[in-house]
Amino acid sequence: MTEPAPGAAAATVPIELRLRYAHGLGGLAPYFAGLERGAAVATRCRSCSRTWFAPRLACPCGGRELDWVELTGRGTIVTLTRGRAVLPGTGSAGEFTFALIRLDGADNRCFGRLGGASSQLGPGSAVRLSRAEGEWAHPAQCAEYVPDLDGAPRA
Amino acid sequence: MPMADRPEIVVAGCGATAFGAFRDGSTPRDWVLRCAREALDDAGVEAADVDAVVVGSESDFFSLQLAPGALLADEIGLVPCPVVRVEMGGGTGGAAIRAGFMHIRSGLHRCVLVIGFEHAASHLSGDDMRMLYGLSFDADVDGMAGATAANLYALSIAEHMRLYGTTEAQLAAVSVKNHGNAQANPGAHKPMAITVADVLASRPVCTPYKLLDCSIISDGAAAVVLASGDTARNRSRPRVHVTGSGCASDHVRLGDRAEPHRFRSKERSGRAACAMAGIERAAREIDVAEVYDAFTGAELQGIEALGLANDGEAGAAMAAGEFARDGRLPVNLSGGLIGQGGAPGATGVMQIVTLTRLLQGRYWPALQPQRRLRTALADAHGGIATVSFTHILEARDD
Repeated sequence: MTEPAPGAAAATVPIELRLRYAHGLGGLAPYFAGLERGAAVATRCRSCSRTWFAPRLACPCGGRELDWVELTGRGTIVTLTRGRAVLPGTGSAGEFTFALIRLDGADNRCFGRLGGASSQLGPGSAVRLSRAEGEWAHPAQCAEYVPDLDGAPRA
Repeated sequence: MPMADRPEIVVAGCGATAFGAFRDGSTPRDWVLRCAREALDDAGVEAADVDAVVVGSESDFFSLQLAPGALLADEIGLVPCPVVRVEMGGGTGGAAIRAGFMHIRSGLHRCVLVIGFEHAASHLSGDDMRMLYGLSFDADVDGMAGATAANLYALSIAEHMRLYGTTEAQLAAVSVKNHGNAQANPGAHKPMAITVADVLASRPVCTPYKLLDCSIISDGAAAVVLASGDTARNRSRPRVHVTGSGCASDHVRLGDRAEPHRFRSKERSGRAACAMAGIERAAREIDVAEVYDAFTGAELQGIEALGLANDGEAGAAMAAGEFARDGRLPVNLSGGLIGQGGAPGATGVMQIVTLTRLLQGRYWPALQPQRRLRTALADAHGGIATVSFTHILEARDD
C-alpha cells in the first residue's frame, strides 16, 4: 500500500468560487409555486389514480398522463429526525427537525422540515403544510410542516 | 456471445493509498499515479498491456477537476487507450468495477485498469460537503429543502427500529467492530478502541444517529487491474475471479419507497450477483464481506438486504458477534467506511483490493482469518441505497 507524498511540503492555495446559477424549476414549477403560497400541489396519474406528493412527472405504473391536483395540506408524520443541516443558498446552517410525512390523499410520503412546536411531534402526529416566514433561496425551503391543532389524532 | 464463451475475469493486480485527510498538499493526481503503478506492478503488466481505463470519482465539486478520467489516464501514460469516467454517488467505485467487468465480459477488452479516487476530506469545509451531498438525492425537491445524507439515513433506520425493535446499542455494536478492525489496518482513517457506551454517549448528529454511528469522509485512491482469464499473467497466488456482478436501482426519494427502511436495490443487486456466481444461499456460502456502512444502521440494513441475515435480525446477530473478526461471517474487516474511511470514488474499488488480498491470504496479518477464504462479497451503493452494486469474488487454485 502506498502512502501520500512522503515528506511533501504542504503546498496548498486557498480558492473561493462563487457560482451563480439561473436555476429552472422545470416541470415541477406548479409544485413549487404551490409551496410558495403554502399549498400542497400534487400530481395524479390518469392510469392508476395514484396521487404523488412530492409530485412525480411520470408514474411508476408507466402512466405518462398526470394531472395537477391540490391536496388539503394536512397529513401525518411517519418518522422524524433532529439534527444539523444546511439550507442551500441561505448561508445558514442550524438544527432542524425533518420528517417523512404522508399527506392526506397522497400515496407516497414527502420529506419536510417541521416548524412550530416540533419537539412535541412524533410518529403519528398530525401536521399541516404552512409557508414559512422569511426570504428563501429556493421555493422548496418555503415549506414547513406545523402541528395541526385541528387534526384528529392519528394512528 | 454464448454464456459459456464469455471470458472469465480475474483481479490481476491491486494498488491503493491509505484513506485519510491528506493535508500535505498532495492531490488525486499524485495518489492515482502511485496506486495505478502499484496495481500494474502487482499484476505484472506494463502500461502498454492495458487496453481500456475506467475512472470513478463522485464529484468534480470536490476535486475541482472536470473530466478527470482523461487527465489521469494521460498522467499514467495510457494515451491512446480508451477511457471512460463513471459516477454513481457513494457507489461510484462499485460502478467502476462493474464497468470494467463489462468491458471484458463483452469481449471488447482484455486488460482494464479500474481507478477510483476522491478528494473529499481536505479540500472543502464540513458544511460545504454536507450541502453538496444533500444535492446528490433529489436536489430540487429534497436537497434544497435541507435533506442530507445523515438525515435521510436517519429517517430510514428510524423506521427499521420502529418495525423490528432494532436498538441504538445494536447500531453501536457496528461502530465498535468497524473502528476496532481499523486499528489493525495501517491504511485506515479512523482506528479507535471504543465501547458501545462510548458510541451511545457521543454527540447527536441526526437522531438516532450519533457522531460515532457515522462514517468519515476521506481522501484516497485505489486501483485494480481486471483481466480476462487467459490474459492475466501473475499466477503466483490463488487467482481471484470476479464471478458475479449485480446492479439495481430504487426510487431516489425515500418518500417514494413503499418501505423506506428496506434497501430494495441492494436486495435485487445482491440476488443478481449471486445468481451469476451460482450462489444459492449467500448466508452460508459467503466467507467474508465488505458492506457499505455509510452509517451503522446501513450496515445492518445492507446485511439483511444481501441475505446475510434475516430481515430484522442483523442487529441482534451483530451484537452477538456473528460479523466480528472471528465471527461466522466477518463483515468489514478493513474497518469499512466507518473505520477505514469513505473516499466515495475509491471505496468500491478499495473493497475489491481488500477482498482480493483476503482471498489470497495476504491482507494485514492481524485481520487475515486463519481459515481458508474462498468466496467474498463486495457491496457499495449511492444515495440511500438508491443504486447498489454487488460483486462476488472467488479464489481458485487454477
